[in-house]
Amino acid sequence: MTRYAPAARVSRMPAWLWLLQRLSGLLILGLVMAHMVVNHYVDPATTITVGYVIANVRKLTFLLVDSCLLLLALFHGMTGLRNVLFDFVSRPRARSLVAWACTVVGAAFFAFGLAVLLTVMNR
Amino acid sequence: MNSPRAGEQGPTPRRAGLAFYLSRGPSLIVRGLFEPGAFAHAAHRLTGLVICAYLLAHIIVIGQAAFNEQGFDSLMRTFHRPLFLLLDLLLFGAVAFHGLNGCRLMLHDLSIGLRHQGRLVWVVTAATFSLMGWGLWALWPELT
Repeated sequence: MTRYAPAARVSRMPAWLWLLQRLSGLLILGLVMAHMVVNHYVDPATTITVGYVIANVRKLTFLLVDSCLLLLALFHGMTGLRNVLFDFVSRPRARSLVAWACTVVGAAFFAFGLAVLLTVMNR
Repeated sequence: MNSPRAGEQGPTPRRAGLAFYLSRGPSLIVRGLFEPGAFAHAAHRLTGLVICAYLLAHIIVIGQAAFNEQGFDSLMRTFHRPLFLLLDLLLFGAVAFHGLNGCRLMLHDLSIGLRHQGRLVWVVTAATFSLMGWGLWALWPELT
């Protein structure tokens, strides 16, 4: 019988995280394409201004797309970053540190982005 | 002869550390460049890291404008220069590749198309360059 090395205490990719990574990726694909094409490729001649942004964020569709994109993209990015860093970090303590750092950075950027959206919306 | 007998633990495989990647990485990348699996893995990871870095910068740069509106319009005029539009096109290509290759990975996770893994990598790459061609066509009036 083959014996394997004991499993790491901080799993590389728990099943629920793997599933959420796939689901968020699917959602992001549609949202980010809409985000980029609408803002940059539909009418490339216009320059984005403050007025355009404020008018857009007041529309429910744009607000929903922007806030969902903020949450999902940060989650997907931070999970991916954790996954890459786990290739170079194998000790359990260091792994949990990496995982926590990714979570904290993601949460901080999400809070900042949400504050920005609310500020612009209430102008 | 060197293989472990039944009930015996074989030699623990050495982990590839940072030093390994730094010393052997370049030659491995060049050799594996035209092997579809290695190419897709490297490109998926590279585009992912680039998009992640861009996302954080994007949130800060666009976000701070909410508290400093005067700077926003001139910043946007700067970003409308041809150089930044070309960088935007590269970002568009990176997002397209990461997304399309992600779709391929999800299909393979469901064991769909496993026999065509290698060919699908080149399909994804070709689709990426087609999309970038469309983007270039759309941006062309602004670039010239």
